[in-house]
Amino acid sequence: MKDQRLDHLFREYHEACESPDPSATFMPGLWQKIEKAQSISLAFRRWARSFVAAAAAVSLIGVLAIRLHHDPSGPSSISYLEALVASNSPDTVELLDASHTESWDDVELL
Amino acid sequence: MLVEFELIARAQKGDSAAFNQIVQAYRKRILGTIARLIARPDDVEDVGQEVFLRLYFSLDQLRTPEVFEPWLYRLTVNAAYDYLRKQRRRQESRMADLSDQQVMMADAVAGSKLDQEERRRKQVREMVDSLLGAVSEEDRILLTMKEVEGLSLKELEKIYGVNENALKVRLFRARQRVLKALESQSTGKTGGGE
Repeated sequence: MKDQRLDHLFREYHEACESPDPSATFMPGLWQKIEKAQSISLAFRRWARSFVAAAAAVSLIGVLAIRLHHDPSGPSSISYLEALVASNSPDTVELLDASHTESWDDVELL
Repeated sequence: MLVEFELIARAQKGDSAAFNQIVQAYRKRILGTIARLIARPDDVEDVGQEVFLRLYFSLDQLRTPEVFEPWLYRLTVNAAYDYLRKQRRRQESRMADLSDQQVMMADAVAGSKLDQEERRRKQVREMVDSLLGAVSEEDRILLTMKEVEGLSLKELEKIYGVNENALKVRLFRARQRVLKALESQSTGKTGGGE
């Protein structure tokens, strides 16, 4: 019973809220909104492009600055083993000597 | 479909004349749906323009012209939902702006101008609006689309992207809440009359 009443009310509601006729300003108003949204989007795109360009330029300058101050005879131009041999460090000799020890009994405590 | 698929395809490619034709074909239907969804005649055109604005910027996301109508209804539902949410936030302050006397005077002026039929329509609108106030904005829209707009479950399934059973459950619950509101309204009236 209540279900039927509700259905009837919904039908009446559909009739009571007629589809309004669009006013004469509907289409011009819509295009105005579209153009406004487009101009905002365009301004944002321009800003984003300039930001990306500026960031790229800063990165390029940074890379160039690093290259210019880079010393080609620096430690990074030779391998680790080459550097080890060249340095002829006393630690290396001690390690080599220790490896020649025959047993741990030979090692004298100081 | 009120327009040819070819017209939609042209609008998708950025043809403004084609887009204009689509708006002109659908605007009355969409404005009618919005009028029943939001129940505020003064704002119907604004929400309608919002729907077509969203359509303009999302047309390129439409995969096939065949799903154009559910897509347009989905945009309508979303715009109406956004409007109702904003409206709920504004409602309290707007009511506070008007004094009781102003409200009564406005009603009296409006009432004197309305004829019998219009009064009856106004009464129905107010009654259903207050009944639909018993459910959330989402359920109000869903219920209106089904019961007032007469959309089928299949159509709603396409619009909401939710399966039919989930929609049935949600509709049943929303309807039960509205029925309960109707019952308490009737009881209140009967109680008040005695």
